Amino acid sequence: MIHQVLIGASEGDAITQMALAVRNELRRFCDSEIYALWRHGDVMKDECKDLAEYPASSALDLTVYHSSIGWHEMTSFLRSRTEKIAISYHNITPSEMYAEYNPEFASDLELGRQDLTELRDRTVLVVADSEFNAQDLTTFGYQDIEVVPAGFTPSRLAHEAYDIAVLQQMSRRFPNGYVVAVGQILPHKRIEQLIESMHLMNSTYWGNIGLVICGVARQELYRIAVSKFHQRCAMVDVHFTGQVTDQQLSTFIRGARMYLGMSDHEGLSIPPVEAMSMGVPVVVKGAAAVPETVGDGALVLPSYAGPVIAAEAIHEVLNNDQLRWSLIHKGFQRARELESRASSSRTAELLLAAAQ
Amino acid sequence: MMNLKGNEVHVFGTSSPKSQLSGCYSDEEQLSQELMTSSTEIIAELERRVAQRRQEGRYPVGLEEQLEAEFKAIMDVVHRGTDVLGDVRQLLDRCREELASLQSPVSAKSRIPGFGLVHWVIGKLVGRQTAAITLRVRSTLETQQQVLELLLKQLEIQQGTDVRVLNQLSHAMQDRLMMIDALAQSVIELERKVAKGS
Repeated sequence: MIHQVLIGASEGDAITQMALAVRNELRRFCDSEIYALWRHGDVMKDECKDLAEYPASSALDLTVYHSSIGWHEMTSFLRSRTEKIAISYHNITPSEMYAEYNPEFASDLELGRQDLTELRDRTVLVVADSEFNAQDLTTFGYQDIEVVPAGFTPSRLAHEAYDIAVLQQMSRRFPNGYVVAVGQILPHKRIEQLIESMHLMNSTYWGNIGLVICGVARQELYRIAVSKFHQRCAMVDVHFTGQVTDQQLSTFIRGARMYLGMSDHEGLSIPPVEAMSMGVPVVVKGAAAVPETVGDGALVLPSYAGPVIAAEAIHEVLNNDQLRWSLIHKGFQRARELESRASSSRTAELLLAAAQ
Repeated sequence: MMNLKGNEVHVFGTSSPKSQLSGCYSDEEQLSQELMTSSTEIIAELERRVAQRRQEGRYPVGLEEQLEAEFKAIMDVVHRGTDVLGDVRQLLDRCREELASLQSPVSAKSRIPGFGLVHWVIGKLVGRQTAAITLRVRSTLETQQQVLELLLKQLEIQQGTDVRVLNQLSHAMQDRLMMIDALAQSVIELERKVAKGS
């Protein structure tokens, strides 16, 4: 019996999606469930179980812990376990990025790192979903790290049908089209730089192109600040979608003229690859694991890139047909290459071997 | 290129009125096929253009820093407005409660009959030592209270100044809007007169 544990499970969340894919693969060989401290939405209440119902250690062969942040209840839970433990590491954002404005969140991130140190000697298998994350894990003393983007399926959204209502809404609001960005509204995602870049591009080139940001706002004060800042950047109309279904998300992405990412820290970065798999050209800031994930399927800006060079890049991709077609073509290739790695089955193999 | 509605939209290199209005660079400047071999080369070309536009003054010096500073100022206001003042008030209230509880004598009551007297005797015996400690704690709490009161006062003054500055700005804007309105009226009047004259 191999179960996975998460702090929070929600529809559309990358880690939850990956855990679901691995569970489906594991179920071909053994009993497997996902348990979470919090389950958001009815779908997750069906798909995942409450961590309070977790079986006794003696009944389990292996527990897989998905690490991305710390939480006191999870720390106590992990300390109480005596079965074998495997870690699937999705990266913990450096706490310094939150120290100034959100010290509570920064301390949760710090706790997540302490958990990793504490678990090191009890862990029988460590899986990192990128080389960047594997490198990060070595700083906690981990060795023999398997690099597999567990459950990562780039074409996940490509099979969704169009949401006609979304298409109509977007074509009315943005007659010249829009640029899309996907990710939670969090400070390290640099949402303000997305707005700045589009504002500069529109004001310099009279583009009148909209911006659609698909993602849930996890920190209210940051959301308020972004909203106030947007009011000052008058040259760009921004649509914040909030929580969306997979069908709506795929429609927002497919309807876009290009994808833009300005995040300062990503442990894997799935959304740009999902955009590539749907034929949308991608421009991203090359921070952390982003260059490794997108490969040559996207136009990768330097990690220090600001809104000015991003504005130039957006303009170029939107208006240079050859570059755009080249990015679409290379994006498809990169998405296909990542898809062919069959990461879910590889992860299941590793977990089954560790459980023996 | 078609947009979502299927209408023709402007693409770079075509001579649309928009590109002429915005002063877009000419066809010759468009990245050639040869330049599209790698991201590195494209980025180098984009950086060259940014440098050129900075020289031309299209991107003013310090533009990115200015945008960043503006966002940081908003973040500061958003966080200051909701957290710090409330937190200081809460701490001050807690400090006052603790001071009040220190001033009331420790009860000698006991749940066991007759033991109240024992507690009273023990209280009297250790009173000399605990009284000195109580005095020190009280003095520390009073200092803390004074510091928090000063901090609160300072924060309230700052908030008042912010509101005053905002009001001044808002009044100045209203004045200018009224001026623009008056000027617009004058222009309409003049146009009417010109139309009558012709």
